[in-house]
Amino acid sequence: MAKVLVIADIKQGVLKSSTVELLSKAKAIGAETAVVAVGSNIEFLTPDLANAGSDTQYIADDPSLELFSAGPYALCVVDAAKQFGADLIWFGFSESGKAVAPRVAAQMDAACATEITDVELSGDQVEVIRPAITNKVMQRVKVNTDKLVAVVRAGAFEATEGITGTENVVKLLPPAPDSKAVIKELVSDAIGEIDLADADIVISVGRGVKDQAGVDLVKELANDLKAGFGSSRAMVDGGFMAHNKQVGQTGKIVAPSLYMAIGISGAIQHLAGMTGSKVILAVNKDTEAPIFNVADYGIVGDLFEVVPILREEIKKIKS
Amino acid sequence: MKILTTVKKVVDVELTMHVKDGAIVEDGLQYVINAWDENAVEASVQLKENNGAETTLVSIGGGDNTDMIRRCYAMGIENGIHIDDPALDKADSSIFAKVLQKVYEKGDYDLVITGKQAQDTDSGQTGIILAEYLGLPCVSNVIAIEVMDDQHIKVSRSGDAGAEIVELELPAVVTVDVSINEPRLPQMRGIMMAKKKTIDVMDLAALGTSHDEVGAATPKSEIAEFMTSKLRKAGQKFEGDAAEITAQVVDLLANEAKVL
Amino acid sequence: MNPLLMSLLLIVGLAIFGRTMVHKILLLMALEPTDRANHIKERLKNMVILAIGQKRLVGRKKEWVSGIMHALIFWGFCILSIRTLTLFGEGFVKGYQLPFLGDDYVLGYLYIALKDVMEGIVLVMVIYAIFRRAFLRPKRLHNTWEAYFVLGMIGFLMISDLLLDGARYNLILLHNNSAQLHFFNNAQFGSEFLWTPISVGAASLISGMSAHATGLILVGMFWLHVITIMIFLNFLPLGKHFHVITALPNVFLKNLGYPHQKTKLLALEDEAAWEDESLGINHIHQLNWKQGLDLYTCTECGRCKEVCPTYTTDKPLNLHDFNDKLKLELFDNARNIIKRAKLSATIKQDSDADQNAKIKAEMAALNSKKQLIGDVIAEDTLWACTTCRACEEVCPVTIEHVPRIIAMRQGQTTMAEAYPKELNTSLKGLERNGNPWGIGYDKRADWAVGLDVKMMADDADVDYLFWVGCAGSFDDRSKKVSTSLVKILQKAGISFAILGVEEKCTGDFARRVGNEMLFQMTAQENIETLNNYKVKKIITACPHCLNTLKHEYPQMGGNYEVIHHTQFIDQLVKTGKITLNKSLEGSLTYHDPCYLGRYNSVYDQPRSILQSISKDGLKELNRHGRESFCCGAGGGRMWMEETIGKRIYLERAEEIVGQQVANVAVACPFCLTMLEDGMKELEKEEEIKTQDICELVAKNMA
Repeated sequence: MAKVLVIADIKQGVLKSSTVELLSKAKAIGAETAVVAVGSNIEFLTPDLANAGSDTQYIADDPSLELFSAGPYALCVVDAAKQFGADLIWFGFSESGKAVAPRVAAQMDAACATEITDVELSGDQVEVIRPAITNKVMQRVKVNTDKLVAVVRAGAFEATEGITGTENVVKLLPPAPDSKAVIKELVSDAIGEIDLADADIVISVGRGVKDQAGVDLVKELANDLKAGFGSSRAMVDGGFMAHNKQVGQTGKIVAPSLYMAIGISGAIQHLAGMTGSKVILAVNKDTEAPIFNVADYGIVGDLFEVVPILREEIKKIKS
Repeated sequence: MKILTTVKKVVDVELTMHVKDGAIVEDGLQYVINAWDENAVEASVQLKENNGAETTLVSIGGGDNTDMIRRCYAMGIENGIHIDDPALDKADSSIFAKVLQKVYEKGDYDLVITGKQAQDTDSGQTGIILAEYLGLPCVSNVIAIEVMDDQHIKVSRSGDAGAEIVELELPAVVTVDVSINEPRLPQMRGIMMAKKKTIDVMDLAALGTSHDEVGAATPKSEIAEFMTSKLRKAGQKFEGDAAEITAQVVDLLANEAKVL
Repeated sequence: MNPLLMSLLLIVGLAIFGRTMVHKILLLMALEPTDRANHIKERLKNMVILAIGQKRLVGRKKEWVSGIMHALIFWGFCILSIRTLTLFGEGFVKGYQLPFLGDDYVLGYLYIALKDVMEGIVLVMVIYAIFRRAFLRPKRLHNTWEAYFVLGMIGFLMISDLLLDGARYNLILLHNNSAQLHFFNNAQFGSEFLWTPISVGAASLISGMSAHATGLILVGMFWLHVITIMIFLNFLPLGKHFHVITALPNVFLKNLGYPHQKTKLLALEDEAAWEDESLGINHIHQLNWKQGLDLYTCTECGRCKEVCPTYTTDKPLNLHDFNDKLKLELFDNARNIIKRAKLSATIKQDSDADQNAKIKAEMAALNSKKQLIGDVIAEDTLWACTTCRACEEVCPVTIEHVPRIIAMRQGQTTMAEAYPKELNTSLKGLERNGNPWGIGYDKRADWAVGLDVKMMADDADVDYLFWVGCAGSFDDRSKKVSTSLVKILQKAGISFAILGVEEKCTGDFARRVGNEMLFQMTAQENIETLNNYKVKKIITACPHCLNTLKHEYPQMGGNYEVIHHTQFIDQLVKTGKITLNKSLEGSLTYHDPCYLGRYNSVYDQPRSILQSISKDGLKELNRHGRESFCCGAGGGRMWMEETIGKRIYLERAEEIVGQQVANVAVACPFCLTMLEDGMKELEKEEEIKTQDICELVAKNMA
């Protein structure tokens, strides 16, 4: 039986959905599961960590670990992996995951694969599937080492309903902080904003909304649905949306259940960031807009007319 | 300050990739500099212009990289190393990192700047693994670099919770994101001067290492096959009276797709 | 009158004038060379029609009245110069007559009659001109004291001569010619004064004066007149009235065969050119002498401003100001430029390298202290131009504004590496994938899939190459135009093929923004491809491609017969290969593309086609044909953001909306994009349909 160590994705004291998704997959392939959580004031999350599907919880809880720093985080993960005897070490899709995974792989002399969409075990052989060349092709990658460190693509694995685990905490000693890479400060995103990577519904605006008034109009819809509020590059470049709201090849890659593209034409760079969504709804004035080629439901119309109607109809359905 | 920049030649991602018999069809493909490495080159040149740094680039494999390297010279890079050895054809990130380690050790560099990922593999590992092999501090996904003094730089990293400001002690490794700068376009004057510059082309032996040392024969992972991406297909498109079709779609979202 | 005084006046006046002129000519000679001493007959024809005939003033519907006004002053000037010579003669010899113009000849009488009437007319025109300038104040006019001064002088010259003759009349007829003055009195033709009503009229104004006073007026007016002429003559080279002298040569020397001087193919590999910074125009001394003459000749009339799409929308490109600033810079550096040219002549190929280097250093030290772009001309000004040529089309003295702008852009890009960096995306796209959008070159022929279009690679044995262009290949809206043209060609049974993925951007926009390197790179590649296939005839749907393929590729060894689709379709109709139905409903207007109209003189064929398909005929826009208003995309501006002033395309779209038509026809993919965007922004896209002529023809073919 394989041993899968999942790195818990914790943001502002909340356990993100990727953790349960990865653990679900681990259980689905019949592996023994453990989770490692690194941070400060996170021990209270133990029940959540267990219920997410882990049978052992390695916890490194220390004030020095409050702000993310790749070096110390990697050391914690390696510590947990060695103690657990992990074969597969999985990170959820996050910047921290991408920064830490290669370090862990190097320290453990293991192979590393990023953005995997599937993992296949046949006997001793492990293979992963991942996209390459800006999502234009898929690769089947054969792993030659006995351990694999992977970063899993957003939404690639599905959470199993009713998954359970066992509480079994192992405390990790906090490592020495990285003296050569000192975190000075964190210029944080606004608190209370719904994280695009995590939201179940994401609504993004494009050039079609024209200006701040248009942005605000769509924001109302996002608020109604408690959805993540994102943007195409155009609106970020235009100064209407913050840099970290950009969904796309060079921004955030999201895979919510429902993605609404409002006034977005559907350039390839943007599609690269959201084609992993389960259902895509597009609203655009131009019937020829490329977004309609990937949308499950497309409304050809003036978004300034359609969005208020959407809000009304959604309110009706919800009540 | 001496800077080493890594530059990879990758397939032009604007082209359509055709997959046949588990491999990508080479016919009609053209190869260009990796976009993220272009940002790395620009960052290095800016450090040269603003802080008097000395810049060197290293490129591994890829066949004749002369055009690409000359282009980087035209942008302002001063020296260029090309490691060309057939043994590296199946190299994975770890092997590249090992080779880069050898290149680093042969010189006297204070800072290594790489693009955060390559457009062909989209792996994003090489720079970070290199830092591990070299035992150097590393920050990835950097969107700003500021020189503090001979021994320290301050970088801004785009993290999950916001921008992380990190102070690095040199020597260090930094991988950059596309938003760090707008790479300049090589201009005529630079291109003409680049033609006169030489490129230091070496195989592994000339580099002072061997196939075995870099583990060329034993990549930790290898690509078994390529497959076409599953394309999303167009769904239902509605045109007509805004009120009518919107109501229709909301109904479908709730009852057919069950996402509301 | 007084030979001594006359001689003195003439010698001094002419000497000063001569000196000024010599200096001005030396300055021109010190500038770069250009070949204009050819096709004398055609040049004379231009001079007669444009300069002497004042075609652009009198023949222009707009401002026809002021055009006549100036023409009359000018023609009067020409006619009265003969009188001037007579007066000079009179200064030496009493009663001097020019050959064949004495009172023995009817020609003499006709001349004095003509002179008399012209003086009256010119005087009236001058008064009107002053009134217009001072009270009507047309916006384009640059109101300076110089203008009033010169008008005043001309007016005074007329008045003084009329009073002179008036005094003569009075002395002869009222005071019994006590001074023994000469006058025409041929038995056959009668007294001179029968032929000069206006002078007689002037005489009656001063008829009450005594003989002595009248005599004083006679002498006084004579000398004042002659002195004024000398002052006038010497004043001319000092300001905008230099055009009085230089306009005829300037029109004579205008570029032939193409509306303006073609862009220079830069020798980018020439080390020497890099050294003395002569790639493009980087220093004022790098203008050629014709461009220098252009600067001398600018009359500051402001017609260029009026029609300029950028000036009209509040961008900082004021063309006569542009001329003026360059002229000032030229004059400021005149001495140094002449010195520099002399030094340059001393550089010999075979002399000592060190010696040459020394001379070059001396030359470099003579360069202007001001940055041409930056201090003299603002950057925003240089890059605002859409190269539409509206300015050149209305300029009465045929100044070639646009080539200077392109050459300066070449200098900025090549030598200073200073150009709007927002162009980088499109330049990079051009370099990598042969189109400014940077879309993979392998998708260039996708638009033609399923249309049964031949690729040259499959069969190059065809009559025509259809050059699709970047827009026609990649832009969703323009692809429809390509498809329509294919339909038309197939209907007409034309043998044609496309290059498909082998076609690359012609490089038009790269050249217009001064990027010679990329232009030459892409042109070279295209020419190789075209020559390999032995292409002879090309049809294109884009006027920019048309212009570059036809007029600029020959510079690099690509010689082809290129025509625009409107010309070709017109041919097809005329030879019966396709028939058009008059079935287009709704009122229709046509927007002339700059590069099809003003650059290639194609105005009639599009109209002929449209007339044949439109039920409601064709309504012309206010600014149409040669004075069509640019859509704003030319000169590389399509690939730049418009941040200053009003959007040019909106200005044009508003004009079209004002015309209240249901359809606007275009013949260029840029115009199509810009105007449709304009309609969308004005929320008129339902009411007014913007379509290319191809699309209209395809829909209205039999």
